[in-house]
Amino acid sequence: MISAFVSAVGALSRLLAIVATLLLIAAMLVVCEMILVRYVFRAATIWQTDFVIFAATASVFLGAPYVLLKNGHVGVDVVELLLKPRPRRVLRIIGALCGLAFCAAMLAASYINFEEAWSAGWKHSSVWAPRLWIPLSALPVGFGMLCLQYVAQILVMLREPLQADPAAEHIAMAHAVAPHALEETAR
Amino acid sequence: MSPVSSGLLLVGGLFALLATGMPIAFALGLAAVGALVLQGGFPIFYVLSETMFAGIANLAYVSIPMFVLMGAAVASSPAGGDLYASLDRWLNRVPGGLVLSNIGACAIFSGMTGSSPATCAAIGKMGIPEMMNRGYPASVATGSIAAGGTLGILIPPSVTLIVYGISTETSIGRLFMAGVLPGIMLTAMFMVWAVFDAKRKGFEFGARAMRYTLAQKLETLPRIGPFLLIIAGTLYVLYGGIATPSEAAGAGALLTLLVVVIAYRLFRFRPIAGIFGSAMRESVMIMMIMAAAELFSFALSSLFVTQTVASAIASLEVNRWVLMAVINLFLLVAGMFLPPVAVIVMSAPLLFPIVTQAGFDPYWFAIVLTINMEVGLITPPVGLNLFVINAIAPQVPTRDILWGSLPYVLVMFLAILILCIFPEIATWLPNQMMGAAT
Amino acid sequence: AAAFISLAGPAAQADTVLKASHQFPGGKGDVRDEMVQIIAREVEAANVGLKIQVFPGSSLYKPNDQWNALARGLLDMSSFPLDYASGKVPQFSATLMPGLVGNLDRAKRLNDSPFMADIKKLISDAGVVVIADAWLSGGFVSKKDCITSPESIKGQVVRAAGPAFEQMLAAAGASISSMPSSEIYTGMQTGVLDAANTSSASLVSYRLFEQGKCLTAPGENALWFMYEPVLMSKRVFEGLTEPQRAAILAAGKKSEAFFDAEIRKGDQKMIDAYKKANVQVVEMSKGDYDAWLAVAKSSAYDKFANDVPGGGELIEKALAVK
Ligand code: NA
Ligand code: NA
Repeated sequence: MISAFVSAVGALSRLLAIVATLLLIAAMLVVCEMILVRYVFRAATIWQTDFVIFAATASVFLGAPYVLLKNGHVGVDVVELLLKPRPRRVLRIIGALCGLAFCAAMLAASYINFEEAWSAGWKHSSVWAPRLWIPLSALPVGFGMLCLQYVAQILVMLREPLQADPAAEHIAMAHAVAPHALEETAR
Repeated sequence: MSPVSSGLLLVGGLFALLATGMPIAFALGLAAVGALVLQGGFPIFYVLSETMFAGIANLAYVSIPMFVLMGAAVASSPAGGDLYASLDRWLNRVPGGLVLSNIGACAIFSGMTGSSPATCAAIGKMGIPEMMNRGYPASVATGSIAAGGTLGILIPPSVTLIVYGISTETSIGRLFMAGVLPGIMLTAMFMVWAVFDAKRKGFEFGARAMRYTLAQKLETLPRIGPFLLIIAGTLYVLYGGIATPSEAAGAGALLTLLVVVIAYRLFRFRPIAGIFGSAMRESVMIMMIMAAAELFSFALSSLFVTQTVASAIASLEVNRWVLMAVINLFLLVAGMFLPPVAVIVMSAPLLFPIVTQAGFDPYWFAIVLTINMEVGLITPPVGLNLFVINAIAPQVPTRDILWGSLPYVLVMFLAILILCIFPEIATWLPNQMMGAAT
Repeated sequence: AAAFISLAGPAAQADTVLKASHQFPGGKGDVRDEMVQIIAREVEAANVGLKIQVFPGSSLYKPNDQWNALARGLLDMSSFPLDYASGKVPQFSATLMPGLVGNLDRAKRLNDSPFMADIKKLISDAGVVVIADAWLSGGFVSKKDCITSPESIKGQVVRAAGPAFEQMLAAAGASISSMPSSEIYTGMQTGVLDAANTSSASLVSYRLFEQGKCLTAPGENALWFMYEPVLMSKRVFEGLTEPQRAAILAAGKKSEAFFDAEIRKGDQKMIDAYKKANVQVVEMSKGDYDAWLAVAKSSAYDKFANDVPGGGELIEKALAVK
């Protein structure tokens, strides 16, 4: 039951990560298109700046659950490394609960914001004037998924036997910081 | 509660949260939300989301994932190894030649990525095993990579300088130019130390016996062609009148991807998806910290802490160099615990007015701050470059890595000192290219 | 926020502390910052148990976020370019509509017109009140031909301030390039942009005289005006005591008077800066202005009238002002 939940949450986070990556690629391509249109054709660029900014920003919130899944958000592990396995686990669970608290607060805050933008029909004030609920929806989706990801992590931590060595920890962190280098090594 | 005591509470709360090892981004956010709710109750929830979103919804910030993408593309191709091998053929007869190849390769690679861990990983993957095979001590091998990697945020492009530019409303193009000469200077200083150290310890090994003919040396040059193409292309887009700096990052990323994919024939789905995936992960990590730091500085400002502290420091009657020394100390300590981006978004709004009021050049200060942040990248407990080396060379104990990078930390201190005596090293190039700063 | 601060705030005892936020540089003589600072000084001097903390340079709220914070009563006061909220209240686009104002004298007459009464009603309905009026003038700077008549902008790549302007300039044959105002300088330097249209203050503070060859100063026939009043949260304002409200309104009048005196000096300062940098300075003639108005009527005005409820009437009312 629990493992079904955990893997379902993981799969959803991966799905959002794909969306986030695609948004990033789209942002890159649109920047290039904008340069081309402006420099080569000397034509108008109306929607590109808005699109690029909103796509890149949305990708941060949509990608965050996956980065949490991969233990990729950098933390300060000084205290953790000083502790014995049992108190270390307690500390980690406290840390995860705090993370959950923040994500839950932001889920509430971003849902309020999204709902207002949706029901009042807010637009971005520019010529293109995209509807604001579209980019703003990335926040409730991302923070909602972060909450689920945290719940899954806490469930796993409560269940798993005591283990974890600091070296493995650092490697996990390095995977997040500069994963490109490590993928080769891992194979 | 007075601004000072609420500020202390906020910062104290942040440290307590950080101690749990939770993500820095969420610790910043939770401390901020807690303080804001205590101050004004739950209505503040109406603006939290906009504050985070608007904090990073900025065209200049878009360049961060783009420069990270450039780094990821080169790092996951054999290009780093080729660059390294070529430099080795040219430098192998110099004492400690491999260390020089390391540092040189890091410096060149820095011109293509805005991120230090990426530099570290790309060169270290090849450099560390090679050096250890040829008999260099593990500390020398890993230390030089850890330190060389830090050049990634000094030599443009640099994510750190972009964040500084946005936080202080200074010109990013100008900041990049200010980083060029100090970057070259620091590279040279690293190299001088490496040669001196190698001579002192008598590192000779079989390297000298291995002679390469000029033909052998020249034959490696085409292999570093792709690098030169990328650097030239990005510089052309940046300064050739095609795009603004924020846009050039996107063009640079696409160019790098095309060069890497074509030159190394990475025509399969997996490697390409890997490049994008890893770039997404690193940029999400950085940008999430920045978005949360927006909440944190909103809370500091809302509690009037920022203004109170700034005016208190500004009213201190101290010599400006004493002030600068104190600021440097603060940055060093902050850099030990936090990644560069977090330090800058949290402290720049506070320090910037103080520094400029004391008559220091904002572009010069950006470079001094960046070198401080470079130190932080190779000092425990949070040193992103250390994590990377730990992962690519798990057999080397952390103690050896730290011991090997310590001399480079001292070289960086020396560089800061030199910059204080000769600020022109940072300000001359931008002044030449763009006219005097405003 | 006011109520909470007064309970928890240190400044203590009886003073209610209000927060004022804006995006402009603080303490450097920016006229919009000065307006807020004057209100803060006057209110404190009035001795009504009221104190205003000013947060300049977006140090509290980001420019666009100020509107919601005001409406919610989370932010007490702001010097706010009203068009920034046009995504929420579309009628506000009329306060950054090309050619609707013309010159500074007419801007003053506009303040007490039925047109502005309608706008202020919309502001009030959203939970915000106006404390002091201010219309900022602006102009064009170009690296190519001086921008006077609609023909003169044909083929130039322009960054315009405000969607309505972009529509009008595009209709006149310019290529519109959207980018943040902070990128205008590098845009012009690198040749990405030929020209830019923005406020007099930005024309100076972004040092565009280093890049431009010709400045179109506001003068008697200016196309670009933007309404940037000092606003207060209605909820906060109504929660104050009678003497406190009176003190704020009196301070608002003073800051308005200051603004009237300074804004002309500001335009002159801009002209001086450009002349000193050997930039040619021109103004639009009445003929140019009327030609632009014709272009605006068939583009920006038309779109505004069609898309925005009551848009057509708003424009008629504004144009009817003498
Ligand atoms: Na770099
Ligand atoms: Na550190």
